[in-house]
Amino acid sequence: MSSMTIILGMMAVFYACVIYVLYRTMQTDKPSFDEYAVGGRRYGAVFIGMSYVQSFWPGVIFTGFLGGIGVRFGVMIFYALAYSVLGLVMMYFMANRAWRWGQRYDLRSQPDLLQLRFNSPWVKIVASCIGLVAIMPWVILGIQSLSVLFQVASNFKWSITASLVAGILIILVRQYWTVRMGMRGLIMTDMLQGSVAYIGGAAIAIIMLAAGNSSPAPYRNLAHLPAALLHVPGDGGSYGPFYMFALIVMGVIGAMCWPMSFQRIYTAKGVRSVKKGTLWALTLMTFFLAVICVFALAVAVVPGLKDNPQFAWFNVLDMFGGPWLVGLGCVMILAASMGHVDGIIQVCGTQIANDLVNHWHPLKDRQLTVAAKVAMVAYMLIASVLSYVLFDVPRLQLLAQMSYYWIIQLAVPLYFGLFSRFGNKQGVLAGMLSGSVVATLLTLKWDDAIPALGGLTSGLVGLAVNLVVFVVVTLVTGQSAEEKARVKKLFDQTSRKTVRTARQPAPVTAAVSVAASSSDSTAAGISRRGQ
Amino acid sequence: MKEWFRKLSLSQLIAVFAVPYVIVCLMALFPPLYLWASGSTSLFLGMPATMWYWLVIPVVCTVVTWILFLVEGVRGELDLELADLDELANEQGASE
Repeated sequence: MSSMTIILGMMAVFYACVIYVLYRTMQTDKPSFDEYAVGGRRYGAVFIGMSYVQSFWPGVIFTGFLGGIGVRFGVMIFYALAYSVLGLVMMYFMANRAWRWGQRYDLRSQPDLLQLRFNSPWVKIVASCIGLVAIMPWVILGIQSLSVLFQVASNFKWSITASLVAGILIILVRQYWTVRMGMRGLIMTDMLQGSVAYIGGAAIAIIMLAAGNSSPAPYRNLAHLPAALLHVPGDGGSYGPFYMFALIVMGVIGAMCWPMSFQRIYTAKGVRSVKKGTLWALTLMTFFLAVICVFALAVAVVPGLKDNPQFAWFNVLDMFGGPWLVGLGCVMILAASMGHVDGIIQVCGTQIANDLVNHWHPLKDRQLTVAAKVAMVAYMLIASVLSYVLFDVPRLQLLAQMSYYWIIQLAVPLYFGLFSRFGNKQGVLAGMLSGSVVATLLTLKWDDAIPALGGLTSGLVGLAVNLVVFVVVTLVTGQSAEEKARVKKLFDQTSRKTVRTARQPAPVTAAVSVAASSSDSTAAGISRRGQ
Repeated sequence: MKEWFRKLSLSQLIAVFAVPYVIVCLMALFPPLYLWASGSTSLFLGMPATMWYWLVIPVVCTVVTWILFLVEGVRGELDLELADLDELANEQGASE
């Protein structure tokens, strides 16, 4: 049996398993929009955790990150571990308020929450547009990583074009089910795909690290790393001292700005589920990424890999286990990429229907679902065309980094909105727009780091402008007494004091009265859908 | 121990847990610290110290957040959802 037959066969079997799971778990062909967008808010911690990891790390972790960064630049790869974990900690702290507001006001997307908090549909529209644009590079990366997969699977006999078309087709067929089922299809398959990709990927890396002489990348390689691989950017070299800081801080504050990450909060059945799901994700992310980062350094000293670092994962698997192991490695990338792209497409469809179409043409529940399905197909087709046109972009991970420049502009309204009563819609809109414009203009000149600023990136400069404009405009325009009262009541509903008091037998009625009355009176200025 | 956590005020609880979070944030985000650790070739359990530096951050984050979750559970801050509040409100209304 040829290696091409083995690898493609393994991928086909896994793909069939995913489709089977979808077929078996489909409960209805006509879900309500709430079911379609947020899975009916009924999933437990383990599902939420795995789904979050799937939405966060695509297959490019095995190619662009492990090879493109770990093998080429060494210890710099640990920035991915640091920001992923710290970003999840932020999700933990957001869970209480975000979920409780979400349930009370039937919020279905992150821009929905911003509209509620700042009492402005335009905040929702601008935030949604920024999210939809910033997320596109990750769909492109996901599809492109599948094309690399088919090149490897065909032993490089297929042309780049043929591999890319195969990658696009496999995603398009998979999308049929995502479009039909919405969030439920995602959550169900994320468990299978995530287990194969992250637990399986880490297991293979551990086995190779522990295998000693029979492995091309044993643990003992770490004792013989060249000094150049142990320096982070900024410690010598061309980057300034703030470059590593910029990469990590963008990742941390950007983590919850990604629409698909935030959406996981709304699929949970309660605050406990969100927080416990976050902890499962945190544990899995720490385990998987720590192993992959260590493994990348062990791989970095294997001779002959630096010429083509993006293929390092496949090459070491081939050295260790031949085509069967390469096939397994390909299945892992397929699993991670499919889950990630699906998550993005689903949330984009939801946002386009819920945040944009529904604003100008209010739709009924059934029509919203149809609009989301049409939007998903359209977004997928645009991404497919762009992934073909942009295939020659040389540094894949740079494209991902640039998308952070835009998405982190949502951080100002999101973090101020959830953790502070400060801010108004004028400040948010002026800040997001000015930050996005500054980040875009600076990126035209400095697409990576800005040397004069010690390695800070265009995105962070845009964020600083965003923050300053937000604060200044808010102070100048102010908040009306009515708006202050509305925001205060929103925060009172989810304050720890209210919750804790309500748990205690004696003062329960008082706390409940406060919470219940505030929830009713807060409805002034806030549409409470579903009632 | 449970009673001790229940009695902590919110500001005391924040102070207790803020310490480890601030430390790991500084390790990840404060250039003088991570540049100090950069390039260290000293081996510990066969791995360069600079790699251990970056591995401490996620491990501490994960452990501390699990502990925080358990503490919040003990303090009853996780399970009271809107339905509970509404139910309690209805009970109060009925009793009146």
